[in-house]
Amino acid sequence: MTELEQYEKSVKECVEKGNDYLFHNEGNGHALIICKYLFKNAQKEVLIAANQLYNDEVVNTREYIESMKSFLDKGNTRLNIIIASLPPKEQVSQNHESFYWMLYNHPSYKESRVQIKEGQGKFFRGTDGKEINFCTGDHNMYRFETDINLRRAVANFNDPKINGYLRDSYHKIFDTLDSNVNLNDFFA
Amino acid sequence: MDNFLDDFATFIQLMSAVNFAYIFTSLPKTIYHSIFDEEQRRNQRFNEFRLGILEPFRQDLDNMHSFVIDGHDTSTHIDKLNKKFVDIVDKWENIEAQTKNWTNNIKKAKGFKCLSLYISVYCIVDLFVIAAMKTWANWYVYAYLLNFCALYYSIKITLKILRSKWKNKKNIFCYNKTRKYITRTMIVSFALWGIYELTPSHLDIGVIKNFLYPNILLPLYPCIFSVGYIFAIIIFVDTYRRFKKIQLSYILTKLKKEKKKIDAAYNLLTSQESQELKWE
Repeated sequence: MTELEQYEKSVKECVEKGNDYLFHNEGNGHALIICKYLFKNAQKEVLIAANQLYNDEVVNTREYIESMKSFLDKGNTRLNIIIASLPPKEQVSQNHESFYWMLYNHPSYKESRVQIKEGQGKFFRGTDGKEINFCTGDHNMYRFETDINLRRAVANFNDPKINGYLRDSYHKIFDTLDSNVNLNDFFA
Repeated sequence: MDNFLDDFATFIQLMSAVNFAYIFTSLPKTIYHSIFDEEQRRNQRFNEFRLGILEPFRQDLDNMHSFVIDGHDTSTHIDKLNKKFVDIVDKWENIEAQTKNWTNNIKKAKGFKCLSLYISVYCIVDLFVIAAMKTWANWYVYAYLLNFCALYYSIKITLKILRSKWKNKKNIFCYNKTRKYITRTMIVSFALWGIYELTPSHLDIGVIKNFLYPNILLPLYPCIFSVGYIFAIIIFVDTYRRFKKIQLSYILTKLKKEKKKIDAAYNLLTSQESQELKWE
């Protein structure tokens, strides 16, 4: 069993048992595993705050896309995304295996259960001024990335308190943003 | 016609005796092998501690990065935590190596096949003797003496196995020794029987009969004992591992509590208690 497989096993076990355990993680492999289980386990709402949400290492992988798809397939689920800036239009429009392509073709997008907004240069930052990415699932799960280059993050699958802080910060900004991203502009 | 039926019945009895002997002697062998076949399953439970509990914690510690919050550097706490954790891992690895060594010593004990061979031959001879009793009642005495001789030699072989006397010997040496014991069993039992027959005042056959039936199983006891001995060693090894696992789990729980304190500092980074996420 590889180190990543072992990591996935412990994450899975933690999710199944509903443990309040803080995972310290770093790198693409860990990020992918945490996101995958966060999406799969979420039943109502996923909030994502990311830079462009367009990379081949994590976001455009089959595992990431499939787990998000399984979340959206549940029906009555909602996905809100805030991106710092738009991904390169030419690349996105030609890539029919990307995360955005899946969203564009998923019924939930037409049902307006998926909303993407752009920060237009602004984004969430820590006290040191560094950009911060995070995502939350329902009212108890979160992944908080303190170093977006190294994908260094902490994650917990059962911490309603921190999840609440992050969701409040998120909604406060999301509701004020009016720069909706229309995927038709990329693919239509 | 009656004679033919008697002969036929005796023949069937003998064939049953051979089958019975085969089943009875192959059973301990099967048990012996199944004990070690179970080893993987038994180890899996303990591997789970290393892979399922220690390994994720190690990964977590590896990915834990120090930072300064409210003027305090978390690196000292993380280093301490790492040191204590490495100590737990070392202890568990030592326990695994030690218990593996114990099991291997038992596994490598040479001569169990020889004991099975001895018991097989004894069973077949003994059941032939029982079948022969039909023609001459005095065979009871021989069967009785054979049982005791076989008990003595089977104990001797068992002790050689368990005290690892044959550990460094070649297989052929062990088999030659066993063959010698089989021959001695026959000679000694016949000699004792001869002495008995020459003794003017015989023991009452009826009394011997009463003792005979339970004694048939006597030489099988060492065989059962050796399987029991292996079971006992394995149970001891597993109990020892379980006890050590509980002991280390307790220490690990303490470490997890210490980790929680560092996690709380991380949580301050993400929460609005210490800062509000800026939007700029």
